[in-house]
Amino acid sequence: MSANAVEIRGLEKRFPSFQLGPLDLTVPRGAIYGFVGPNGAGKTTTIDLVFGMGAKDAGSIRVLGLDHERDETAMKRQVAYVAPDLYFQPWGRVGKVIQFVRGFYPTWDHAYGERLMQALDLKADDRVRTLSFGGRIKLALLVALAWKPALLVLDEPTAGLDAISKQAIFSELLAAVQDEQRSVLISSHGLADVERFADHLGMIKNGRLLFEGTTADVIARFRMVDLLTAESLRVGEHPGVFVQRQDGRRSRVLLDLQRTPIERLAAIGATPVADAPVTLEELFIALGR
Amino acid sequence: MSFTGLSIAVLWWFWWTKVESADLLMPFGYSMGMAFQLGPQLAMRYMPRAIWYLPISRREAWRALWLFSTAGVTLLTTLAKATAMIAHRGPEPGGAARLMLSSVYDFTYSGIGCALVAIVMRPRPARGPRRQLAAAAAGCAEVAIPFGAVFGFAGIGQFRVGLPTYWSEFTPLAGLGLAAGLTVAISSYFHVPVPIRPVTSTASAGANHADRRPDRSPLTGLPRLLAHEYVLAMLVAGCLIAGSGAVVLIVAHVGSPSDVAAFVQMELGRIDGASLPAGEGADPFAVIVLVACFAAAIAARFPAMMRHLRALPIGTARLQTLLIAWPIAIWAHNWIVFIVLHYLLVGERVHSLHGAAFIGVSGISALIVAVSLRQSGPQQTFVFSSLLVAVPMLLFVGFPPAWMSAGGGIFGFVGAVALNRAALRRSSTYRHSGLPIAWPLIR
Repeated sequence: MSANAVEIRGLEKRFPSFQLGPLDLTVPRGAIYGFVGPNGAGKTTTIDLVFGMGAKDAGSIRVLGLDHERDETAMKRQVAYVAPDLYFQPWGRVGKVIQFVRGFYPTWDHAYGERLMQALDLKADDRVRTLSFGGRIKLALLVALAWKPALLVLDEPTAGLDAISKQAIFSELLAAVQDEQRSVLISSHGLADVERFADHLGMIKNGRLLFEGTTADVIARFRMVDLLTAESLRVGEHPGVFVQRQDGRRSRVLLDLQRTPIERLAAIGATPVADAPVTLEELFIALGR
Repeated sequence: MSFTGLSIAVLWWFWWTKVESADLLMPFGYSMGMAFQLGPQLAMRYMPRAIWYLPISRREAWRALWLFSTAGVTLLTTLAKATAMIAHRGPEPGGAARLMLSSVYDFTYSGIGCALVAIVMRPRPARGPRRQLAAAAAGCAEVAIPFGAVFGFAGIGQFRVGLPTYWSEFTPLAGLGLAAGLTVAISSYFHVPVPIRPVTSTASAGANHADRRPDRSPLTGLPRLLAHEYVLAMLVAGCLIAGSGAVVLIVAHVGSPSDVAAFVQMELGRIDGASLPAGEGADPFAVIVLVACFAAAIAARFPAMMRHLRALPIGTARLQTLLIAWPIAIWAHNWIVFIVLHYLLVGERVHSLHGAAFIGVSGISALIVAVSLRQSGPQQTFVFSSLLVAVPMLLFVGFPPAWMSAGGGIFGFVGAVALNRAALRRSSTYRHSGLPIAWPLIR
């Protein structure tokens, strides 16, 4: 059995105005992996390619040890997908969506499905077309969780949701992943949610992965540092140094300690005067610019 | 915008070619269909949701939309027709009067379309028989809207609907009909849309456990999908055939059961020999049956559901098979129904199974499904409407010989396989909505 839930290696997809990759991404088995990045960075494209919604130009994708193309059906029997744009409307009622989907999964748990309906405030005879945005996400989550998938992939599940709906969704998600063999890949703009929920993080920008690792490692890897430099020094040209603000000789930079340790700053003519840990949101804004 | 321009250009060309014809019913109907398509069917169906968030009242938003969908669209069609008439022969006596009559019809017909949209959008009472009645009316209106344009394009001319094409032809009854239509059209201007209330926000504090429980019917998974789409296909075909059949029977003054039986036998008799390659003698009912069969074969909502289908454990090859086999299955179903009906009502077996024609229509249908998989919602509407106008023409130019039918069908299948294969590999295939059959107008 593969140690990783998702292994993406050298993935590339070219569009006329955008190129994804080459991208390497690893979601360890049992991890809750927050996949973050600014709009248009390639999060949805990456997830779409995992499910075959579009063909990759290069690279490989293995999910739970299975090749996503050759073992497509076997893979999809173990992987659930939740996204706001899943179109359930032709089914008319919530109950009919459930009736349709459960036939694909022998592991469908009726009792758990009914409990989820209650927890997510859905009814079998609710009309799909009159469900709110949050209601549609809840429905997608219900049909994804009720058969207890080994891997749950969520693409922007909380975008546009109110705090109460988010709470309901995250509490169900957390309850569902108590089993440590179950993995979650969640792409989201809701950084506070991801920070609270995910134990692994990966950030993508312009189709390239900037970093990935456990949340603690990622947060520890970066520091916000105030520097004094010579005015002519272009500190941002050094690897792992991301200038946030520059005011004469004073600069505030985000420092990637893996690429440039604080001790090396003196060697390039910069004197650190203060440094502080970063929050995920600060990291996202600093790197996403 | 480009679609509107193209539609108006097509209308211009149609009038330019038909302006000398003594029979103006078909150009009148075509213009009405175009007005319906550009107004209620497209402008209202694909109205951006953001309109409702503009700092204007819902009443004002609706009225602006209504004005565009009726008066605005009528102005466009009138300009196209007027320039076509002038370009063809120059100003002629009586031309302006006929043009005005056609424009009155365009306005009335698109206004009736707006009334249908209003019926769909009307909030339903919370409970009681009025709720059922409102739901039934909304359901009928939803089904009628996609076919409104098609009826204008093809139905009015084919059915010889008793529409006067000169002011002098107006009888009191025709005048009353036009006045009634205008009343419905204008009254729809006063509709005030109400926002749809999300169910979940009001649901459930006191809801009991039983109504949360979905039934556990054994029909689930892929078989359920097929059954679901089969019901839609039969609904589309059944509504078209029953509705048009009723109109034909009324127009032809066929009233008694024996007359109806004779009529049905006569139509079924067309299956044999001289019936299918009908040439000039094709009657409107045969046209509608063919249109209904095509509509049923391509009406499945697989393109709209593709994102969800792709996330389910259905392999690419199975999806491809589904897209190709579905039109074949629906045509096979229709073929069997006609053959069985022929045997039961005419009393003898059909002389030929028309295998080449079967391959032809199935292949074309599979190709259309493949094309629509690559199109966005409005483009699919255009493909769908064009098909429903183009297919009946087969009956008028005559069915092609067997080798051509079979060859065309095989070409259709090969093209469909190639197109589907390419479409399933495109990211954009999974990011747009599908054909608006029986869809709610405002989501």
